[in-house]
Amino acid sequence: MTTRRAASLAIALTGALMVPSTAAEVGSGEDLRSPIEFQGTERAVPPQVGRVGSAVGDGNRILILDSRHHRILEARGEELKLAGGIGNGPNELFYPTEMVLDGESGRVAINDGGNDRIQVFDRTLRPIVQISVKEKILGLSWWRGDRLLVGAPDAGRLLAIYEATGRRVGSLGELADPPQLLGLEQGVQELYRRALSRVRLATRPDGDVWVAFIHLPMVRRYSPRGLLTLERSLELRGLGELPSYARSVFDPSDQPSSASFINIDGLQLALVVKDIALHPQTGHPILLLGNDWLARLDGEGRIELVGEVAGCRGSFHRLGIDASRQILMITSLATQLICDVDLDEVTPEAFQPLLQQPQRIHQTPESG
Amino acid sequence: MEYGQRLEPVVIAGVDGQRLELSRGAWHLLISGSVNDLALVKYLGRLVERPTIRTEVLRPLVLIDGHHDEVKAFEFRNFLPFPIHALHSFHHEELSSLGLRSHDRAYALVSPDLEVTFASTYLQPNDLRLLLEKHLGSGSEEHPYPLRLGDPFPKLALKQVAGRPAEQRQEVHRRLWIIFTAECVSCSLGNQTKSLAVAQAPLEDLARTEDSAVGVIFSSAFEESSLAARLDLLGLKSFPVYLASSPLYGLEDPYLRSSLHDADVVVVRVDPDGVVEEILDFSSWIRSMSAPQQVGS
Repeated sequence: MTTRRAASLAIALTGALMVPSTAAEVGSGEDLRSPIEFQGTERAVPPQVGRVGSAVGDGNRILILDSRHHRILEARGEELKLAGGIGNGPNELFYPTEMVLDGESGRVAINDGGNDRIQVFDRTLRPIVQISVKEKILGLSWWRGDRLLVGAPDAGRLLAIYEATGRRVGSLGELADPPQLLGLEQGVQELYRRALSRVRLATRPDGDVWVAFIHLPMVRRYSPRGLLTLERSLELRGLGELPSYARSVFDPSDQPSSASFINIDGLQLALVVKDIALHPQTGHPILLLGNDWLARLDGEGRIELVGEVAGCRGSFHRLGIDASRQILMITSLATQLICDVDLDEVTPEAFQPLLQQPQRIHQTPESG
Repeated sequence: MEYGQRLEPVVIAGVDGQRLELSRGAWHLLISGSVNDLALVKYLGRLVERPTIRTEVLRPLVLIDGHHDEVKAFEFRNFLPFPIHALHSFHHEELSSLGLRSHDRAYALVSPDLEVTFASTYLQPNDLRLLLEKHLGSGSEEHPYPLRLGDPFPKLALKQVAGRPAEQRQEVHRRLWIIFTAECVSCSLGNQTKSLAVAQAPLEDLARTEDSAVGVIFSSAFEESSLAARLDLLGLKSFPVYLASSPLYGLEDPYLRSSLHDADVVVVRVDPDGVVEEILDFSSWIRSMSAPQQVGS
């Protein structure tokens, strides 16, 4: 496969294609500070966890996906239970990458990546069904009670729909197709289209589906019937200096930069969004951005709040919701701790005085 | 080869008297890969020496896509207790009876009744350990849980390296530990100790401001006399230096002695109650020690 060079596509917030060439052009050394800080508290995980992947909670119960030991750990107070373990069989996992909890039934669905399948466990962590998935999947969510949505761009559609019994019953959504791809040859277009269509998902109880694109500053919303009801570029309303922020998060040539980049199939793509979760009360999306900031969107996908998480260290990885305790749980790969953020804090009301003025992202010039 | 597949007993003869045998009554671990897999094979060599794995019932079948002489030299150099074979010492058609296609990477564990218990196209050393402990474990598992923030600093079996400051007090609450694991002994003895020497002066300043702060620990994989000679050459005499007598649990894999964190050398800061308050990559920490102080605007 042909490897694209580092001067690859960068889709900026404004939608303009940026292929910057010099560091001077993009103002290296800028230090971006947000006036908003969400307050987090670090929490340790049981020592039996080899490597924290995802974590979700439900009051007294916390589930942690251990990607090093290929298993799930459930903690209820001091009581621990393990499920999975390395292998290919039922109740075994191999490089599990995602975990989603169905709050009503207590069932857990795991993207069992190394086994090319999704495994569903009941609330006692007994395995119920293994769903073989031929294509590589990224993005998983329970939907409309008894169904699972998975991101499956390699199959040609954005999301595939499975029943919890294992049967594939349909698909929805078109792949991302940024106009900037038009000038490229067909094969390369297809490669980019699929890579740029990797997503994270979150679903509301009423069936609405929010889709955040991992490598594009864009969100979509689909109805319970699978119709596209919203597509919006991530815009920072009321902020100044949009191009600088865009450079920070989305531009591969901004050095030093708070942005992360990963190599997918030879393409170097910006890591725009790491994860999405929905506020349990309002249903509004909360995004974990590539630079470890949190962004809260309104019902129409516009950013209401964006800022850093204070009180927690390290590179953030995934979001989880504990609706009972009203906590947003953020796992950190670097510290292997969970960062708890009070969901009441992730609301415009919590920052009303600051928001009476337009939220500006300040730039601190390099000292010296 | 696929999970659940049933195989038949087979003996495959290769060139120069080499032989691959799959038979009932023993577990077989199949590794078919390239020279990039030799590190995994070396790890297997160490694993099978541990009492936690019932190796008397395990037969590794290792096929490497490389030159016969290179492969055999690796086997002898690393004192492997099992043979490794060059892939092209066997006919491709015959290897297919093992479920192998030439040049494909494959890892499989086959049970004594010849059922494929595990199959994959990739495998990391820790995965291999988990797999063998699961199916051939003797019950006394050593889980290398990585040390985390908030954990008590582990009680380690250490002895002081001669020629360094001895402990002055019975109970010394060290605040800062610099820990050398042994993923690459020569790398650590080379570049990393040199960095430590460069940082010696700032570390002495730090030790003066905190209560008897600094100690250095080397994994038991380091050889004492080579270590002492290296430290003398670099003039590293300001801090107590310890050599571990057993694996550094929480810090290194007990078999490979590789770091359980993301760096071969880590800095662990401990609070007065002996609780870990920070774990840092040594290189980043050295850079932060060397960075000029920021001047306020």
